[in-house]
Amino acid sequence: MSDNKITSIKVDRDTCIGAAPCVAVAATLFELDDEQKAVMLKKGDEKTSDMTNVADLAAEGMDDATLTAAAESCPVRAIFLYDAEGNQVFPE
Amino acid sequence: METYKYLIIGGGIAGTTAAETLRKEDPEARVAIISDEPYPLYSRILLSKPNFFLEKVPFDTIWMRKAEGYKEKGIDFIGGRRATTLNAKDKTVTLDDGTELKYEKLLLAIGCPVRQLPIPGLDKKGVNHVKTVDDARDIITNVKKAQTAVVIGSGFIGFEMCDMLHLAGVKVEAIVREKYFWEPILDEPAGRILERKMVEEGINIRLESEVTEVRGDERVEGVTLKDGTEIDCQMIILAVGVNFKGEWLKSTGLEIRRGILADEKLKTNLADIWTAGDVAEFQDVLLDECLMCGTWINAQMQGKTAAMNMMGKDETYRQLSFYTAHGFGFNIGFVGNVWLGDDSELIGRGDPGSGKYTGIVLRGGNRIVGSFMIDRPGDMTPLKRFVESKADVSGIKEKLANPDTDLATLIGE
Repeated sequence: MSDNKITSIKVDRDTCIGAAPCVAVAATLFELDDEQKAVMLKKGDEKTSDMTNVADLAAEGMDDATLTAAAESCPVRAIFLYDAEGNQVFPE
Repeated sequence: METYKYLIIGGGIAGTTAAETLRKEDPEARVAIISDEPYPLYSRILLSKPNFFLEKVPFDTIWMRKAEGYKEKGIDFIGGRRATTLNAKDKTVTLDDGTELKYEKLLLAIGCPVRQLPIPGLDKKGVNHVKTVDDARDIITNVKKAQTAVVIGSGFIGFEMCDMLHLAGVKVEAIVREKYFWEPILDEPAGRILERKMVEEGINIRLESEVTEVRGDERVEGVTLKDGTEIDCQMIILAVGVNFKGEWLKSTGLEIRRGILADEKLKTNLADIWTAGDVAEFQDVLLDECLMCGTWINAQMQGKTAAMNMMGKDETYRQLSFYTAHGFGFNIGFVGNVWLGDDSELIGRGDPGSGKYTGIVLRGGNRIVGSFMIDRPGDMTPLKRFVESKADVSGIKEKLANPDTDLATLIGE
């Protein structure tokens, strides 16, 4: 068992401005789509901004530290992290 | 005298990223940040966003680091202090309280100060730049009391502030020195698209106008324009860009043009001194010209590259600049350098009358170096690839101009 608490992640597309620090911090997790909004890369070549289970992400090794660093890098706070109970872990 | 292996002047995203990178890669090194603001890193991007100003998200959303976080990372944060002297020969920096610090490697990530206009009365209460968290606090207070606001300047900040003030229910008078909105970054058809919508929404845009005086006692009560027109207002937003002079750095021999001159590794002309972020006028290897870039991601990535090179690595800064602006329902994207020079050419893509329009800037008749997109966000990704590839597009200009052509299919033609 890992010590990781974060189990899901989402991007608020209305808030996202495509500034792309998340892509710089976690290039295997995020990219910008055709609307210049951040999407997460999921297993099976799927891409979404919606709430996604960390286990369904295409990138391996997405631990709390990596996810938090990516979310913290967003200058408009468009990335949200949640624990298994659905509590918002970030932004605090 | 305190000695730092890595001394960083500037507490924005460039300086902060550099300090964190240095401590991560060289955990024993003494690292300090000098910032003229007393606050930890905050998001300057939020400063022009309506959600923030209209308090739809908590004010504290702005903080991107905790004050105690610097110490935890082993970084000395010297806040509320301004560096006043640089001695590159002795490798010392003097602060405004007389403190002298010695460095082995120095990073100048000092940003660009706002442009000062020579208008009498700009010192009155109710007049704001949009630069710092203190400006933001003041604007939030002023917006609640104002019936009419004057916005001076029609660039990125001017556009987004007009939108914010309008959403707040304040009557907006936009004072624009140029012939059309956002000249010369946008071309005229693009500028007119924005103007039409803004006027429809009730913004009063006064083109080719200048404020000559700010009226009022302690607080602003109105402005007088060059043609004698008087406008009553309770607040003024100055959105007239930045202007770096860097007088305090010149005596030590640092080369300065519009910004601090740097090569593609972000190294300045002086030994052991690098620069990063808004103030860097760097050799851009993707556009093959020396330019400045004021975006958040540029500052972040340059902070990292500069830090690596301060540690003796040999990294070239290679990032194409891009950003988006939002307001009045528009999504406006920018890629690369859209300034028109003598050997530039602009290809319009789409009917400006439709409200969806892209401008593609060519240099030397054959190479795309920049683009702006009004409500055509799908053009951005392929245009980024065009700029990065430096491809010869002289044979496909008509296809580029056709808004129904999928740009992605043209890459490699």
